[in-house]
Amino acid sequence: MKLSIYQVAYKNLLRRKVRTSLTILGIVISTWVFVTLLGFNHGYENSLNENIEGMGFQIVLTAKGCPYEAATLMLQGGTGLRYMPENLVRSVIDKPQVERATPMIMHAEFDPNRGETGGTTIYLGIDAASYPPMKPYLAFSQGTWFASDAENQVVLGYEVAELEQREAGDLMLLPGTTEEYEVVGVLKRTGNQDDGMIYMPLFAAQKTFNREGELTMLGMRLVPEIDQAAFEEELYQLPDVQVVSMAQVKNTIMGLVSSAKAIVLSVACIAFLIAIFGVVNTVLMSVFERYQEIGILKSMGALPGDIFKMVFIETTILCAFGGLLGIGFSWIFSGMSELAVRYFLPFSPSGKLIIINGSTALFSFIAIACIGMLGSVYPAWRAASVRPLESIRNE
Amino acid sequence: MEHLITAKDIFKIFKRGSEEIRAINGISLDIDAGDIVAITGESGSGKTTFVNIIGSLDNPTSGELCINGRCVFAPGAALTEGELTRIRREIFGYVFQKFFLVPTLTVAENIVLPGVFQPKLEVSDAELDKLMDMLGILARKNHLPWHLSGGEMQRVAIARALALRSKVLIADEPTGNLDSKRSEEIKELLVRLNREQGITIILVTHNHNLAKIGKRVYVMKDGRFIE
Repeated sequence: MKLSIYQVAYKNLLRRKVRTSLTILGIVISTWVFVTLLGFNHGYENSLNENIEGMGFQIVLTAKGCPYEAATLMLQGGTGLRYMPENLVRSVIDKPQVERATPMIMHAEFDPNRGETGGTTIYLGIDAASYPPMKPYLAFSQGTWFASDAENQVVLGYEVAELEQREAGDLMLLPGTTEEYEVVGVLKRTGNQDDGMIYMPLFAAQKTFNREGELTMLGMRLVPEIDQAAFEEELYQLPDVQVVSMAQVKNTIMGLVSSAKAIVLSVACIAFLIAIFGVVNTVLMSVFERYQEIGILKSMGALPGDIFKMVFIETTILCAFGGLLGIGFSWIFSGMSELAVRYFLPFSPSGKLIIINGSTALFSFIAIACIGMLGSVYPAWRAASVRPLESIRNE
Repeated sequence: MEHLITAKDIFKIFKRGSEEIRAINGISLDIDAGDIVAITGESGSGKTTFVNIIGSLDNPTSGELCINGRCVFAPGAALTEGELTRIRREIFGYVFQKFFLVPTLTVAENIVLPGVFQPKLEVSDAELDKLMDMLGILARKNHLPWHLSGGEMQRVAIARALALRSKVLIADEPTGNLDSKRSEEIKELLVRLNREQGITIILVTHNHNLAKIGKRVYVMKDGRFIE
């Protein structure tokens, strides 16, 4: 009959089931927080990049104002919008550095009848000729774009169509307007801000919202290999406009969430430390409880290294089991964690915010295992130092 | 001829405040391979302290102890704990007054436990069953220690010591918790182990009937052999 040191170590952990379970629970929670944070770190940046890529613009020209507001405007629309004269913008479109440009006007309208507490409807007035080539990924599930000079026609983003239960050919009264509009197209799901938009022809939007001759922004793609920084500098010479590059948007938003991430990281580190101290405490208590037993094992020929190994294995089993469960929970409940993150963050891009992939899971598992092993050194050393006679004499 | 164990002028002195207690008071003893040495005496006479020293579990305060040709305790020849453990695992098997079984392991697992630390001690299933049958605990093979009576637990402890296949078996009151029938079986078992396998037995007991198996019987009082 063969008995291994691993079996002995495992069975030692079953001696105090409640204590072992609570220790594992501590590891599970700290690993859960840690993995979720890593997943968020990865997912948030990923989603933000996708959202920015999804905009289809390299540079956006907006009216001068708060850069944070501008960043939010870029990604999900906003209130307190500022406007710039259309003729000023037209002069930019003709510049040789500009490969493509599309003017837009955005309007946000609070709709008290939307959902239980009301919601904001975002309109985007676009030029049907220049906007679609900038966003080639936009595809229709029904219908198509309106004509540039069409009035009373709209295209709905996927979420709006779902929420309003509208299809192409339907007529609908839009919040903030007095006339009925015909839905000429419904876009397929994109997973980004486009899903929540109601698109109107540019001139119709200007007219409807009393913003004739004004624009909210101008999206641009630049000629390849030009000096983008120099062009941005040139644009800054225009009166009352600001230039927002997508890299800037990303940096601005990442700056906004970095403090939140730092706090969560601190919490995760503290949780990790508490869990490790819990492991050390549990294993040390277990060693003290088994003082005599360890002495007997040594009288039976166990060398200090054998005892060290046994306690080391016990700790590793605790950490590995807790770590695996924590990773499992973080994966299973990532959707719930994502809802919580979205609730607390000032801005969260569309798409998956928490991405827990194999490398995140593996890194977390190795981290918890290493820290657990480090925490096991002292209890294992104490156990290895037990002198057999002293332990027997304590009886 | 070299003795298996040679103890010369062994002292063990404990200090309690200014008081000095001589637990072992200058004992010398030679034990040869194949001996059965029985040590009896009243409680507190120093029997257990002495066998603990002989079995490399404790240091004497002074004196010289050589085991299997190697001086374990002598001026300038003290061994490290690891070296003492190697001597213990090569030479000694122990049965204590208390059972010291691992509560989370089954009876069978407790018996083969020494094999975890000494792979050469692997016990086959047949050997294990035979050993357990001999000690009357086969039916308890898969039980945990807390399911056993005190007598059964002591028999498991004896089986564990036997599984070590040691040259010297140190038995400190091995039948202390056994009924007379099982005590007799253990007595016969020890004699048979000595006769058939040449195992040297050092026995500490209050049981005069058991002490009779000793080829030499010593009586201790106040840390000395008085007979």
